[in-house]
Amino acid sequence: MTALIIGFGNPDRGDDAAGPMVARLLAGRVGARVLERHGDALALLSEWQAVDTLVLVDAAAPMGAPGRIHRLDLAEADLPCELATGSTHAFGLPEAVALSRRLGTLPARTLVYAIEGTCFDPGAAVCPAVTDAVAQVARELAERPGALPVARRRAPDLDPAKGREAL
Amino acid sequence: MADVRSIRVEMLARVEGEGALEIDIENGAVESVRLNIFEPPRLFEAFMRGRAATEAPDIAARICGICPVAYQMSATHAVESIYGILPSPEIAGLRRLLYCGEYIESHVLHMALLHAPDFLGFEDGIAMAAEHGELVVRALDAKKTGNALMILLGGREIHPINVRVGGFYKVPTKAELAKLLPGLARARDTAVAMLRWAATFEFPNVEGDWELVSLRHPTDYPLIEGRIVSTSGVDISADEFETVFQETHVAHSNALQGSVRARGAYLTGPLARYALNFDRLPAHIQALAREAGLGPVCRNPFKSILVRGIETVYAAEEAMRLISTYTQPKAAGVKVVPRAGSGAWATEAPRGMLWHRYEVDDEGTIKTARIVPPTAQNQPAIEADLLEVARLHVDDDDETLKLACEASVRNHDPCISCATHFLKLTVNRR
Repeated sequence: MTALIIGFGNPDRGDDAAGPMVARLLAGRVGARVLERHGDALALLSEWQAVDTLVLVDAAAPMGAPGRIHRLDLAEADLPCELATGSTHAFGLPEAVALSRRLGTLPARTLVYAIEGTCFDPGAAVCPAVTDAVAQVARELAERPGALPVARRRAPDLDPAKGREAL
Repeated sequence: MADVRSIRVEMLARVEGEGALEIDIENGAVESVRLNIFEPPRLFEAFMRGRAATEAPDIAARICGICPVAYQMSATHAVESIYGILPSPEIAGLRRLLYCGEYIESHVLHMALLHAPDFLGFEDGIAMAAEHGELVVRALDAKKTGNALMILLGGREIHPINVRVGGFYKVPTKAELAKLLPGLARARDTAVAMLRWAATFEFPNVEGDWELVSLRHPTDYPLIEGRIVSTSGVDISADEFETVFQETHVAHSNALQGSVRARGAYLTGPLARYALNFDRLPAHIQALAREAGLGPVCRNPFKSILVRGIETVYAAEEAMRLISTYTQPKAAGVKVVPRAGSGAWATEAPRGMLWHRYEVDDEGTIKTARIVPPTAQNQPAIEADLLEVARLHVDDDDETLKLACEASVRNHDPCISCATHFLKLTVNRR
């Protein structure tokens, strides 16, 4: 049984750092390989080959509630196309997930945690609501054995400020 | 009463940027075609004024996510031409190697996921992957190799940050580069497989009579340097670009449109590079081209997928050659001493020639900058193609006509974001 958590996003663009912050909080603390990635999501497909459980953590575009956590199980459906980047030059997670499913390489269990952001400006700080949501997602991923094989049952000391500093 | 038919493509898929396409058909005849680029101007040339010329490569690299190396290289060499810096053979080789990485990732992406679906009747590359999975997987692996070159030499795969005026900030070791050789060999084999696959496609019988414009180098297939030449006899240095070529504003586009002052529309990109530099390809790659059904000149824009295949093979082999002959330079770059002047440079972005000119003061501050991207140069030629394709499909239903026109635009892998500095289709039948 192999599990992979990918925190996706640009750590230098405000709330887009949510994914990498979760990854920093979980690295070495859960029974899963943990990666931080940003840029072209097509490059992720080779990362999740031979993985049984995949968790993708990414920031979501503002939809009126900064810090709101959207939990999506991709067993049946792709990510909503409204979340696609619209760019042909840098494919986003929705396109990568859809392509992987067509290729038969999408892990049997694929979960997405999307954290609504509010500001994605270069160099901007992560907003408090997103910082809280980062801690919540990290806690859930560490505590939910149903989602991931957990190395330690006790939730690690998840301090989002540490995650931010590490970035 | 006139038979009026209006077809509007509001958002063209699988091209980069925001634009629309409008076709007017009156009494069954195509009257006009307009490529409306409404992506707002991006004003990069204005951003650069007042900045240090040494910042130009990093600012220019932000113009495009798929061909940042092209922007970086044109900017770097233009500034170096002002400062009298001539890159050492080792630095020049590394820059050419970095450019090969960009060709591999850009061309493979376009061939496999953006262009091939047009010939096979799929909505997009994702839908195509269900039936052509093995090739898509190989293409993704090749793209990853291109990315790896960009990461090692450029610092990251998108908007690289390791190139500077005078050289690089850091150069790789021979051992670091050697690790990329197996991936490049696979990328080369994948490009050959994709070329042979694409050669089985059915191509519309269309030929463009555009003037073809590209760089030409005394010995090499052009990437970073060479004179600007054309099929109508142009043979000039980059400094002379504005004497032969011009950009004009048209009401229906936020992007300027390029033309040859004396003659009008021209085309840059894979078809132009290939036609003007077929003799610069190694004999075995020329043989591959002939095997795929290409002569030394290809004017069928739909067959640009084959030419991209040839160029990908070349880029992978050239990268392997450059790595095998690499000697790590003692210094990553030379000291930069600002001086007043102006300088221009053109390089070959995967989708066409990219020309930059800068004027700097004696402290090295940019006074003026001018950037002429390939898609702006190609717009009139793309519109001419569209007119011919629309006439071929004028009796078809609107959906068929729309798909044919979209495919026609994708033949040129345009980057509208770069040019404005995407696409909607409207057909008006009257």
